[in-house]
Amino acid sequence: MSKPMIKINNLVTYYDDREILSDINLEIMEGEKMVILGASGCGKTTLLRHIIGLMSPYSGTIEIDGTEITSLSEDEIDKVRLKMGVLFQSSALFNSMTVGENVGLPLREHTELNENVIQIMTKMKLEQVGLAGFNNLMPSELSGGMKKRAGLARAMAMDPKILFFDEPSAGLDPIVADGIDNLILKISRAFHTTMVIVTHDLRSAFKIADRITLLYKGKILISGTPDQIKKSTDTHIINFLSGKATEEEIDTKAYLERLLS
Amino acid sequence: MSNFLAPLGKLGRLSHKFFILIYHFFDFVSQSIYYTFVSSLIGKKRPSLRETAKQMVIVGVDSSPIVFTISLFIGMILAMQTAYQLKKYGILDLVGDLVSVSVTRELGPLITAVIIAGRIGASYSAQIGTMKVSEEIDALKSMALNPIRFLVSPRLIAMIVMLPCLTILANVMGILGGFVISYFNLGLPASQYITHVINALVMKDIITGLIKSIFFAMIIVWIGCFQGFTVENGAEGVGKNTTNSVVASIFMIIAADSFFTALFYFAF
Repeated sequence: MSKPMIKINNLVTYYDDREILSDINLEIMEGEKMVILGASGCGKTTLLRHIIGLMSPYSGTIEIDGTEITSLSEDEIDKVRLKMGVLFQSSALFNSMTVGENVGLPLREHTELNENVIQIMTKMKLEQVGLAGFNNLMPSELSGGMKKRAGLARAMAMDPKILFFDEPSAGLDPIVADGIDNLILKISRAFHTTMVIVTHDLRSAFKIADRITLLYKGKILISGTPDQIKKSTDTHIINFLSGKATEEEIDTKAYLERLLS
Repeated sequence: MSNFLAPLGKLGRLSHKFFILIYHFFDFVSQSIYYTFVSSLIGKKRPSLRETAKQMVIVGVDSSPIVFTISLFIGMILAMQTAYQLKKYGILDLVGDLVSVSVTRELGPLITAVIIAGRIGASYSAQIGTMKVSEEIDALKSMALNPIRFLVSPRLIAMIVMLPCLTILANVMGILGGFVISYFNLGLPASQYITHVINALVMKDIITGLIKSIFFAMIIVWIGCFQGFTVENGAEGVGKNTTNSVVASIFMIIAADSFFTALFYFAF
């Protein structure tokens, strides 16, 4: 087995007094496509934001390609971030720039490349995501699926070792979402990039994943290959996979206390 | 007992919140000074020249028509108001002295800063706030681009350079406004107004006005951008913080103005 690219140890985080992630331990291997699956509000986006260094945890450590990031300063994390590309849920394209300028931005800012080279590389990246010829459009002129593709082209601009996807299929119709899934698979085959995909979409999770980690209320329920997950007998897992809402057990005493407080 | 202490607790929570805000603001200010002026000196990345030039055009060139027009009106108003008083004492020829000194020392820098706070400071809050809501700030961070260096530094440099330039032009337009009234309405000869302006103005008047405008520039950028970065609750938050930014910058501009006027008045 190849070496771990991302290593999370005993990660705990709070939002005010509420525990969002409790004792998360996870290893993601080089070249692996890891899907982090869970219902809304289970903490999966929070976990992703910790791995990218946008949030710092209450306790625990996160290692990216051998560097522990939770204790680093913002300038030091930036060096680690050069190895990553992130596709955000809303694509997060800069609205004041054209699609081409968006994709070329990391190259312009982080490399000394000549403008012509940057232009060619931008076109190549757009070609890879199926958006050839869209350089001069503004993000507002693109459809949701095209925005995601452009966001992905920008995330791939610096040829990152790790790509993160926050809900790649959110807000897209099933056919366009399937197109994004195919694109993820294509890129993975071509570049062997380590990929972390956060989603609540079961269909795409099982289609893309090498391994799936199922989060439930801030804890890891199970982490394993799609087959292992399907064979699991845990009720929470079975409920989630069959799309059933878990019945909350009613604690009468706590309920009365809440009403009277 | 608990009812009696409740207002005290509320006061405590509010002041806690206030001091945290002050702390974050000064942290933001020190970071923006670091990324704008210090980091390029110690060989790290400098703010983008292209973006700075773009911001200079927005602050300077695009704002000049409105600044020109309003300063012209201000000069005219001042001339009429002073003439109203001076007429009583038969010293109408002093209109030029009064208009030029009050415009260069006070109204030129102040009115320019207030217009720019409303026009540009508000747009900084709205732009950065919208970027925050649509994850663009996070995207910048994820691309290892520091949002302060990328967004605030070019705006800070552009404003510090362009606001004094606009102020100089506002001074000229204000004095011209005074001329329009004194020549066409008060019937003073053109040469008289001009000699009075030249004799009344000393370098100190113009310089103190320009020093003030540099500080106003920093206030506008820091408050405008900080309000953008602290947006919460989506689109509603953008609107709220944009309004806050205009109110807070105008307040701080006038507070700083009184401080500097007192300083120049008593110390120099």
